[in-house]
Amino acid sequence: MRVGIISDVHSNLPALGAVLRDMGRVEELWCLGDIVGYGPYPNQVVELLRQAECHAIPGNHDLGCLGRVPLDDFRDEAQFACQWTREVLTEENRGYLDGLPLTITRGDFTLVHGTPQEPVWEYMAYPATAKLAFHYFASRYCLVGHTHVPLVFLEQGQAGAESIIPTAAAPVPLTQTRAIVNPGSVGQPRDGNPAASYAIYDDAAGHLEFRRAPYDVAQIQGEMAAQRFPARLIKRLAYGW
Amino acid sequence: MDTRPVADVLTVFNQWRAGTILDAEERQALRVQPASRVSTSGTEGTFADVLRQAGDGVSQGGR
Repeated sequence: MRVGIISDVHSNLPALGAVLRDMGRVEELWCLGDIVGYGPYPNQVVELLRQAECHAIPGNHDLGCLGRVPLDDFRDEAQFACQWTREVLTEENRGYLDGLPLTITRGDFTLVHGTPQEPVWEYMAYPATAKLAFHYFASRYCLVGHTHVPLVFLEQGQAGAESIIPTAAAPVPLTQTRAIVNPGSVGQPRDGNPAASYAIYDDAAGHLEFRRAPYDVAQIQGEMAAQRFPARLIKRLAYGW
Repeated sequence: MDTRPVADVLTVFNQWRAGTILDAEERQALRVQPASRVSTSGTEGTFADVLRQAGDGVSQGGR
């Protein structure tokens, strides 16, 4: 079985389209939250994921757009995007997002947005966080998003966790060693590379492929400008942050 | 496999989260050095000072 693993789409339809084309045929699609927020295509992105029967969880921006976490918890430009998204989301798509569970378990994988101990806000960026996190999920592997940076943490007993920077050139084998995996962000990568980031799990091969899919950044920037989004939100898509 | 220290690939994320990241135009407008080289003490001022001058506010914790 091949599974497409995406996260942090952030209402970026051109980036999601590029990823789905690049991904090819998969049996399942999993999404690790922050489906909306920041970008100008929330309804189109939600509807595409619904059509794909995506197994999804919400992130902090989805919850902010739904009014389930206070907008004061976001910086100004994110607040703008959440408020804008609230106003344009259809009732049907709002209901879809509102019905998503905070965590999902699919086979050997637990899916959360932040960390298994704090699924909404905490960032899984360093081995110290990963070392603690291994105590908070029962499955062999955990998939996280939220940082927008592709990374893998392998459990290392008393030593805690070893971190791996994945690349497209070398799939990461999944073995008996427990692992926490971040596929990076589709709609707003934050590692200095503006190309959409995602992963494919191939259970026959026993590995994860990490991929980058370039997309038409200028097209979404034009739409954001037309909708009068803050300039910084628009510009940064070209920088990869 | 990428053999860089993880901290290297988190540089952009950490600067974004701290609210200190500047794009090329902002750096040029403010005539400051690249982000990693700006002094955080002494007479050059801190990133927060730079961002205040730019009217961009200070970090709200990367959210």
